[in-house]
Amino acid sequence: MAAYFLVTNGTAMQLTPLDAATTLQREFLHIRARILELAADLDRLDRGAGDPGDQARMDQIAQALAVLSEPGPGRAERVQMIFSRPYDPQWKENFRPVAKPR
Amino acid sequence: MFYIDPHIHMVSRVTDDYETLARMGCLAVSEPAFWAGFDRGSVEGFRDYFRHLTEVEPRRAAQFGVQHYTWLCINAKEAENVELSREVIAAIPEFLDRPNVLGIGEIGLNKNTRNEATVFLEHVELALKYDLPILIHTPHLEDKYMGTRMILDMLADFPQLDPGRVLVDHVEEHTVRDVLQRGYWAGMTLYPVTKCTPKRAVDIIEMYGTERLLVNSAGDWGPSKPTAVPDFIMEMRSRGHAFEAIQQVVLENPMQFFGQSPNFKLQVPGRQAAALK
Ligand SMILES: [Zn+2]
Repeated sequence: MAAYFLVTNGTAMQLTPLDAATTLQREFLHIRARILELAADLDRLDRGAGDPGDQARMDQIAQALAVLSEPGPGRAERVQMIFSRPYDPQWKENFRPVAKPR
Repeated sequence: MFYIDPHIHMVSRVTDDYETLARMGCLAVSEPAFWAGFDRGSVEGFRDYFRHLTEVEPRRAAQFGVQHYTWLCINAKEAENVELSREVIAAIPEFLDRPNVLGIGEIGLNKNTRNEATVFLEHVELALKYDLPILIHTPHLEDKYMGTRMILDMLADFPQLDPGRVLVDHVEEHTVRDVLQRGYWAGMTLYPVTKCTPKRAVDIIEMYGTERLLVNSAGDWGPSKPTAVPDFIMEMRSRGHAFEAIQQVVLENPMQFFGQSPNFKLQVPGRQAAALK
């Protein structure tokens, strides 16, 4: 089937990331721009009248910001977990399937 | 570069998008059944939707030389209605012999409820009964981690299920490892706000390799970009990754996974194939 297309025959490949210096050169302006964007978002929160109300979300933001200055790798995964509901290993006990009608 | 978009909801796109996809090198699309932008009122609404997926979209795609494949189910959002879901599941076999149907999907969870889990399990039973591959939707945002773990727990209760015939979609940094480690295929959805970006998808491929990983655009009712797979290709190229690695992810992996469905027959006109060499 369409053998022309199969140049790799399904052999899995490991990719080498760009070296750190090249990555910094490529990403520096993007990183700077996104940090600025975040800083302005947080300033906007401060300038808005009243209390943000949702303390749980404010805590998530604070924890996620702290992760950014921790050593990597795995920061993206740690940030994801901060914004995730935890896994409940007992979930099946509360989730018996709805019985099928007879 | 030629590619396949393994997860794109063309019913919500205009005909011009098919033309754009064709110009970008898209040879085939696979469209899982999903929410249609509103909750349908009856099983007849789903029968019409399945006709749309198996009759209208393949014709619309063919105008531009794009092949259209599909997956059938009642999606997790509407699965909250268990009674309706059971009527839809009973109707699906009427459409399984249509020539563009690849399997059952995208089934899964949305808000991780008991009703959604019930309907998910009954879809898995249907796929096993008809010996079809499965395409799975994982929830978004704060529900993704718990929902993905629940789905993996439920799949593990079917020892007869071959993990190589199951694609778990919308994986991100915190769910991809579990999915791949258990032998399933994993799809990354490139979506502006709630899912993955082309850069993060390339990061994940750099960390996990090219095996059993797919990228798709979702291209649905939300703000989404039907040409997100070419964006991924551009990011891979700009980082200097090998043509072979890119092609494996965007073309050969979908061919390998879909090739497990008897209906998948990628038509490659001879001249296009020669041009690729
Ligand atoms: Zn989808």
